[in-house]
This record gives sequence, structure tokens and C-alpha cells, in this order.
Amino acid sequence: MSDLSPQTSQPPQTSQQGQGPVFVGNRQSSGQSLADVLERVLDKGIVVVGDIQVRLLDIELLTIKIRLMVASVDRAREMGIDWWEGDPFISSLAEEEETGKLEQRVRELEQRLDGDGARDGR
Amino acid sequence: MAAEPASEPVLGSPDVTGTVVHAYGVVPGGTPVAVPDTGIGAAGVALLDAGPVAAVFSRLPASDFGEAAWREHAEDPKWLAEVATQHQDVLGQLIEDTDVLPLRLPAMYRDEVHLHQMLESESTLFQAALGAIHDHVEWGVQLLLTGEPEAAAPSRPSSGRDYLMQRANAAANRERDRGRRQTLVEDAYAALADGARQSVVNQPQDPALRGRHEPMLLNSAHLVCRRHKDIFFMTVAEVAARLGPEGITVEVSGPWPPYNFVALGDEELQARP
Repeated sequence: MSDLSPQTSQPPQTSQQGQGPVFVGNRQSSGQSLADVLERVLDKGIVVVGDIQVRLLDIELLTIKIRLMVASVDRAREMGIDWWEGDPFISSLAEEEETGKLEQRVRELEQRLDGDGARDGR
Repeated sequence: MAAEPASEPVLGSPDVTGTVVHAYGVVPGGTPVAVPDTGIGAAGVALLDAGPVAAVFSRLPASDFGEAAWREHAEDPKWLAEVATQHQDVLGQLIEDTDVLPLRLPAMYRDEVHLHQMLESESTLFQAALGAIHDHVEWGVQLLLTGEPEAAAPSRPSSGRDYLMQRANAAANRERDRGRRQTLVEDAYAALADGARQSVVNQPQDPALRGRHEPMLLNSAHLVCRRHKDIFFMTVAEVAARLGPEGITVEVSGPWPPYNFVALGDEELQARP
């Protein structure tokens, strides 16, 4: 695949050269971005109303919470999120007064979720 | 096993064995499936056969992954991220060889009996869904604005009026660039969709969640037959070649199990007794 322009989020695989899939070591977690994973496992896939139901954090709310954590340097580091260090965009994010707006948005979304009640089996 | 009353689970009450069953996905029954060695929390992974369909699952300690734990951690991004990644890791391995319908989190059952009951009651829908995605995988394609379009650098303004005209032109150019980019993105999506069985556009991802600040112009998912992967990737390459000079990068992720193409209609599942 080295001659193709698009960048793959995962390292090249033998399967992309037309051969059967071959598992090499721990290719799984290394290649896929957390955002790609969360958007799928929290928001897509099959939902079955049944057994044990727990309403998980809405992906939008989760995203905002992560942004708030990034704004708090120490907690972000605890989470293993330090990709932003040295990134001027994220540093400005941490300084933004928008943090207050984010917190307000969190409260609004939480209220809306409570009002929604059970949906999608969550 | 004595029949349990079909009551609502009591928050925090441990089940008899101290474990819960976590289901990753549904696969065709009756055929050998290579399940991964380990799943969430390094637990073993097994197959629960229910005739025409089967589920891939792990038994997990209820203290760590039972209902009370989920409720406690439902808003904890770090915990969710870890479980989500391990959940997808299992599915990512399965999709390499097998049709699999991925289950959305939390996907928790009291025990194998309850999971089996769910498989039986939803068997017809699952079989239909498996048939619909048979031999297909999902590829994610994202377009990111990573650079500026190649363009001539503006000359230095020679007067105040010249400067103001350059400013006005720059604003108009930006607007035109944005419009042109939009057309390019739409055309790119159309080309990709042409090479896929089914395609869908999702919300662009939040930069903080991705850890990158380039604007995401397109976040799409495509259901592609395994056999047609190379053709699809040729289309991706063509799209990338067209968009590269515009400062737009194409990124591909996958193969995913078909998360974006298994909506069975939640109302169908909820309506069943």
C-alpha cells in the first residue's frame, strides 16, 4: 500500500495486498484512534433492550467532559492525555473562557438526558 | 438452574456467581469461529451457540464490570475509553475472518442463560442482519484540512488602497475556497459511495477527542465487500490525489465490523415482548 496516497490510521497489513488476513502481534489497539472507537461502540452497533441496562454518557457529553479535563492539565495527564503538550491550539483551549460555556452545556445536556428517560435501551 | 423471576435487576446486588456476561457481538452459528484469546480485563473469550446465531462473550467479575460498576463509571471517560477499546479489540480481530454484528456498549447480561435467551428471541433479526452484511466490512474515511491549497503568494501591497483591496480579495477568496472545498468534499464522498455497497456520513469528530486540530471536512463510513476492497482503495487513492493539492488529506481506518450498517430499527427490538 506504500504507493497509495491516503494515509491509513493503521500500519500496513498483509491483507491489503490481496492475501488472506494475517494477525501480527498487537496491531489492534495501536492503530485505531480513540475517537473512531468511541463513536462506534457508544453510538453505533446493535442495541438490544434487555437484561441489564445502564445509560451511558452521550458521546457529545463525553466529548465535552474530555475537553474540560484537557483544560485541567493534571487530570488530563492522569488520563494519559498529553498529546496536546506544546500544541498552541490546545493550550488556547485550556485558557479559553469558553470553559464556563462548556460547563453550562454539560448541565444542559445532562438535564436533557434525564428528561429523555430510557432510550435505545440505555 | 432454577428459573429466575423476570424482575428488574436490583442495583448493586451481586449475582450468585459474582460474574456477569459481557457480549461483544453476534456471529453466524454452526460454523467454527476463531475467537481471540483474551478480551476485556484479560478475561477469556468464548462462543455461545444458539443454533443459527452465536454470541462472542466474556465472563467478567461483577465487582469490576457488573451493573453497579457501569453505573459508577458511566460518566468516566477514562474507564469508558479503556473498556471501549478492549471491546473493539475483540471485534476487530473477529471481523478479519468472520461476519460479526457488533454490539453497542454496555452489552451486559446476568449470565449465559440470559444471553442465550436474547439470542433466541432476536434470532430472526440477527440472521437477516448477518445476511445483509455477509462478507462485507466497514471502512472509515475522513477528510482533513491539513494544509492550504497551492496558490500564488500575494504580492506586497504597494499602497493603502492596494492593501485594502488585497484584504477584500482575501476574504472573497476564502469564501470561494470554502465553497470549492465543499464541492470537492461532496464529489469525493459520491465517488467513495459509488465504490461501496452502502455509505453514511457522520458528524465530524471533536478535535479534543481526536487529539488533532485540523478541521474534519468529512467523516464517513462505507460498507465494502471483502472481495472489492482493492477497488475501493483505488477510488480512495484517486480521491486523495485530487484533494491533495487542495490541502486536504484522506485518512482511512478499518476494517471495522459494520457498526454503521446494522441498525435493525431499535423500535423493532423494543417492541418484542
